[in-house]
Amino acid sequence: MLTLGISTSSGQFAIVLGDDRKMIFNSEEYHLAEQKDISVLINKCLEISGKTIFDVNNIIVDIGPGGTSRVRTGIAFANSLSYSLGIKVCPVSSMEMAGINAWEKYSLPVIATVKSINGNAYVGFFNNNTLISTEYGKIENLIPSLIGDCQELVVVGYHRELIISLFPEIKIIDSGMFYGDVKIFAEQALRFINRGILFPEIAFAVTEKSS
Amino acid sequence: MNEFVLGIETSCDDTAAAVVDSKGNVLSSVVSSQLEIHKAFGGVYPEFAARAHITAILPTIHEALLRANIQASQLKAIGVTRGPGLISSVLVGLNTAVGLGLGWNKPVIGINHLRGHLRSADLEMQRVQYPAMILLVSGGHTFLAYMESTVDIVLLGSTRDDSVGESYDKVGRMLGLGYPGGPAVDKLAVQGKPTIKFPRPLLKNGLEFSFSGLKSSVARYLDSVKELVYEDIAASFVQAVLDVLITKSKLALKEKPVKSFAIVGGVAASPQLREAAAKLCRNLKVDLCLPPLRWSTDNAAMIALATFDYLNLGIYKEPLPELQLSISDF
Repeated sequence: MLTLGISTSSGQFAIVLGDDRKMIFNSEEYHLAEQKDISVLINKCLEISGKTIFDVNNIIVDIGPGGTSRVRTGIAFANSLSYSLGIKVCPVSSMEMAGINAWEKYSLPVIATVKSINGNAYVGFFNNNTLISTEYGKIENLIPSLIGDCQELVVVGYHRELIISLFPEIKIIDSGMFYGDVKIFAEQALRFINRGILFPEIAFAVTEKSS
Repeated sequence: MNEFVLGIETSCDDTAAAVVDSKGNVLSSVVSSQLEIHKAFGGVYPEFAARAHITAILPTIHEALLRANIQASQLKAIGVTRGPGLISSVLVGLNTAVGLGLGWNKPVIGINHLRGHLRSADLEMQRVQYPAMILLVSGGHTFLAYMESTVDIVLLGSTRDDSVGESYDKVGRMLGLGYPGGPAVDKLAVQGKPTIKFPRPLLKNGLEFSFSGLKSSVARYLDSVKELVYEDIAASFVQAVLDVLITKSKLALKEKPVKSFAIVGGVAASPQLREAAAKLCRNLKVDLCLPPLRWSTDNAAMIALATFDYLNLGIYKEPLPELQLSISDF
């Protein structure tokens, strides 16, 4: 089962192709960091892997939060590729991507943040290998209610240092990560593909709260 | 054998898809309007426009294919607006088109939105006889162009600042007429008299346009006069716009004799402009081409028709955003 993963919410567009749990292409290994044309990444992926686009069985797409235009770029492409191939697209939050990466390393609750406008942020809380909630607002207000009585956690994202300084009473580990890694779309595809949707259902960006 | 192109247009606030054949017959044209979303802002709010495009684009394309009663396999190509336009909106259309092209194994060509507008006059039937003069008057653009043929285009003059449609919308907002202001301003103008002497910018200065001064003049008038007759303000604004558009068009038509004079773009819906242009063309003995109003505003059928020009000339433009395109660019 071949899964194509697309992530555009961070500053770097990335494509992965996985065969069950085996990674067979990761664009981050090919010096394509500045590439903002998804079709170029896909063509490279197909060329290297020796596959055709018609071999792909599922698409997993990062739906943000992240850069709004970047996220839409990936979603528009994933939705239309899903439609034209007649295969499912699986929407996955960038908060969940970050949470999975940090949980795998630390096995601790994770707070992931993405910067937004007017001093607001998207804040995701990930625990027990599951994304619990994603909220929008001021991080100092959101985090206490999200983590409850949790006394130890890991932070991912733009506000890591700020969070550590805001909550000195909690043991907070700085993951050093800004974003989740797209490779989980290939290596853990089975985790996501049961969420697959087909047109007329389509993937949407997690941006509606920033208005 | 009939050949079909799927056109996709998302340059501003309308999500549009259409299927057109090589003769310009429109098999389907679907437009999902965002008017209700942007009304509250008195103009297009780019972030909301892009969000609405994401929601609407696949259903719009799906509907266009259904209405055309064709399969994707019957398409010769996909043509999609690559600019000018709002970058976040253009990107949604481009990436959607590229995803479709990959899955359907069809070429995807990035089309200059302005060339689409110029070709809108020939949708459904060959209306324009070449050489022709084209006046594009819309919310995003105002220019006069000379067309030797459907593809040989020379820009004669464009606006240095606001487009005429933008001025209409802003004056409409000043007069409390809501968004879009154009039709409401024209309607109100019919009830008034052009008693106020608003400026006619660049009237005797070549074929370039300028409308920001006119708009500002209306604003100053509203601020400085106590007893306002809105009908007269609208009539005076419309008269000033008409004087500029018709004077420039007359000058262009005298400089470059043509068989047809076509007016395209949303402001081509103005009854006053249509009447004045008809009079001008009668006097100059030029055929006036006014495409149906459904082709005057943004639509994807015009993009699909323009795509055939690219195909016929063997011109392939990557489906990548280019926001600063001129009318002479492919």
